[in-house]
Amino acid sequence: MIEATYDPASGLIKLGLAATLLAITIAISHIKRLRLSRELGIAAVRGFLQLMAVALVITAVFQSESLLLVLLILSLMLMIAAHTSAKRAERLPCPFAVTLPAISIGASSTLMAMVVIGVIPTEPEFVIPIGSMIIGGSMVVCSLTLERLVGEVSSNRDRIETSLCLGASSKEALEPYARQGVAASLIPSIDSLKTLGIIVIPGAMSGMIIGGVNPLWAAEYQLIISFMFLAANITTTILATHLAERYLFTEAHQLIVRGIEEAR
Amino acid sequence: MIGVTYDPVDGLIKLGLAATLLITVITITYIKRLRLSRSIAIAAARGFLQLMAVALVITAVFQSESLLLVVLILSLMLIIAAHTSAKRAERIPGPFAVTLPAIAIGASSALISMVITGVLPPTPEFLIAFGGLTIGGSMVICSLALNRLAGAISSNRDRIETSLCLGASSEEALEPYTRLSVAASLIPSIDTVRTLGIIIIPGTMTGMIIGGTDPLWAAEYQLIRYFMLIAAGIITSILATHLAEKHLLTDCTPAGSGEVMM
Repeated sequence: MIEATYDPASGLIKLGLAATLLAITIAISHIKRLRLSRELGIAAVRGFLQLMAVALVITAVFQSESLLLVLLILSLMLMIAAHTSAKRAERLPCPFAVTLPAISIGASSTLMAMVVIGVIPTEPEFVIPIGSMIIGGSMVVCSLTLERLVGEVSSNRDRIETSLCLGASSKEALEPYARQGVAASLIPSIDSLKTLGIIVIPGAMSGMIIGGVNPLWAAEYQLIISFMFLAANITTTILATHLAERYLFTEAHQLIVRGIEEAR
Repeated sequence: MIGVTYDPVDGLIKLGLAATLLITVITITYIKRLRLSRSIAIAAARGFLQLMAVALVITAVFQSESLLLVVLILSLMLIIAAHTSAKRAERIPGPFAVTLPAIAIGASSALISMVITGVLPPTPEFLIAFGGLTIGGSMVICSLALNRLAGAISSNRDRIETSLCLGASSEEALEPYTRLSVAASLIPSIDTVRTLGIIIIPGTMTGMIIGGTDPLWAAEYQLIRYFMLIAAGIITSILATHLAEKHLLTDCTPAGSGEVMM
């Protein structure tokens, strides 16, 4: 078990020893001329600074015990997630107007549902880390869905235009591609749920075990997190396709996708 | 904070409520005719059974407090990991003889050096959690390296044969491709470390915070875990490509060179 209070000296020494191990292997990669040493060094330093900054912010929030601050942090994460996902879906007109509502409704509906029925206690210790995992997961799925959707639309443009000419509404014309986009973006999360616990004990569960939680509790919370994760992903992807549909067509059911002409 | 002792009723009720949420969403996918409901339900049931089985085994190991049992479990994980990675690298002859030593040496050298220096206490909690993560990470890196190597060799076969004809040793002929495969296999892990803590609080850190650990401790152990993973990954990847080299070329060597066996 880890001591309850943080001891900077002991912590930094341990971290330094692990960094030494890393430095040794980086030296090996340098001798083997892998041209990765610089990149590895920068990644390690960046990871260290970012994670310690996050830890300091979280510590401050835990000490203030203000729920307002928790909400503020989660909304900030949401904005960054929506922005990141929007950058990936640049070929879609107004991507931010799609990603922000999709991710925020997907992530917050599952989080709120679990908090309201009491599965997750309303403490910052639970809400912030679980919230961030769910927001991050929804972000990834949202990017995957939009990327796939725009890809399908641009490579099947002729068929969609034909359906529209034959009198199909924009929704009807897009339906098969929308469905494929949703299904494809969910495959990674479904697969990770299916292989849960095979070889690798999942991250959150091993963290709880190290933190001294009973393994059965740890497994159940891991499953709760995984279920929430998948539920949020599904909601986000369905919403994202629906919203994207509006921006892909004019009100007169004409197809408009930026960047498609260049892609052809 | 979570209760220290496990309360099956409370735990299963909470899990049931989370499952209800998932079922609600599965119903939506069914209404939307996404043809995913069956696979999601199966995945959820499999995940539940597997994770609870793992938890029961771990509980038993923790109660026995025997280090022998911990080593046994870690070796079992190693063999499964080597087997999984060998299946992915089918194009290399004798893949298990490559993946097992590569993953075993890579993961165990990182784990043992951290235990000896006192960074990780030699308690089953730490050994199983960190050991599992390091072995799993090495497995993924090993598969990536071998896959990439086999791909690079089959698409550059002519060049390799030519170098061999011109008198290069098998090691010299393969060198540019092994170097590329090792570098490529490490990129996903490097990227993960570089973006650590941006938007997503990583899994282990989340778990430790939920478990009541100080966030600073949690951040440091998360970093230690990733440093170990990359260290183990570099060793695994270098070893795997070196060992694969031997299986990819015969040792019929009039001039110290061989033939590509793919």
